[in-house]
Amino acid sequence: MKYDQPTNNDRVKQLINTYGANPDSWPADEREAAVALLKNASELQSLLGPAKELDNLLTIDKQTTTLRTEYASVLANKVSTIVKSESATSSRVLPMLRNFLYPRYAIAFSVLLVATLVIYMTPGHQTELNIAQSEFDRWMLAQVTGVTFEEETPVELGFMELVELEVDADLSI
Amino acid sequence: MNDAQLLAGISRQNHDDFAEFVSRYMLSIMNFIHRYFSNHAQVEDIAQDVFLKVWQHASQWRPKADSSPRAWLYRIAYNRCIDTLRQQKITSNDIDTLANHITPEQLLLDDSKQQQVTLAIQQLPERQRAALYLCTYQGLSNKEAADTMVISVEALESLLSRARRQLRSQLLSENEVETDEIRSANQ
Repeated sequence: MKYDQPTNNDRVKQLINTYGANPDSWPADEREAAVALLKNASELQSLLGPAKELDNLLTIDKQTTTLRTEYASVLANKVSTIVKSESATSSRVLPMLRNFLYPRYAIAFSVLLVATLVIYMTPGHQTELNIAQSEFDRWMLAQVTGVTFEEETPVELGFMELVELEVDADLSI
Repeated sequence: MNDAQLLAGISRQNHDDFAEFVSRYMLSIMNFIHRYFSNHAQVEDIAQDVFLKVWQHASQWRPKADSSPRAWLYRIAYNRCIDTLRQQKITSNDIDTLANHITPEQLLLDDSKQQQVTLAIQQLPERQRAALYLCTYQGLSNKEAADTMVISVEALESLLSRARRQLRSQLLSENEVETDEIRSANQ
């Protein structure tokens, strides 16, 4: 990235203070002009010493905190394997999902869903659970009152309603 | 195959291109993350997450003249590091002990000086530190580093020069003091 200003002594000074003493660290498109200026300016050359000293110190830290290559290659293989296995899973699941969402299946499923809802919401509809509950209520009533309730009762009546019916029946006797 | 071609392949879910891209950049990205976190397991987790994001979002990268795939990758890693630091509420003073991966050759180096340098860098403000990591240690160009941090090149250079000024005043003056102490001890 070329700096807006033309390369001059001030800019070279700035490059040294910003990127260090090594011209290889300077922006590539300014390097040549900056090195040429540096050769002829003793004032600029005097800045190189302290900058190089700092560069050397930073290099020590660079050496000590660098991870080993093999450590990275193990993780690289791991990440590639994860992505492959995830892709394999999605390649199995997606066709199933696509089949499921195919219009023919979607229509069939919708019809089935609507039919189920209509049947379930129809008044007087008896589910097996309702019937079982009613039979249990009759049996319980018989245990409590000692009277077998023979009469056909509406299945939707609850236990307390059955008790009331039984009481009414006793009174009428 | 260059980075842009690899990213294009990754956006088409090409596993070979992804494996090539990962093997090309895993070490440098791990080293970059390792500058923020000394815990190896954490470095591994973040690096893995960074590359999985590359796999998922490669199609979002647009080959513009002013943006390189490397800057895009580093931006993902940098943002992930900063997010994790914020979550953990780690301040720049929370320095872990030196990582336990030091080789015998490295042990020969002056340990105290090395710790001084590490400490001084860790004490830099976060953005100065990031600029230094990207340019000095990761070898990114000024444009790439600026893209990574989503700032201008001028702002990046300002961060870098301030970082170097602070390090110089801290480290070089300490070294001078140390040298004086050694001199006086020898006399």
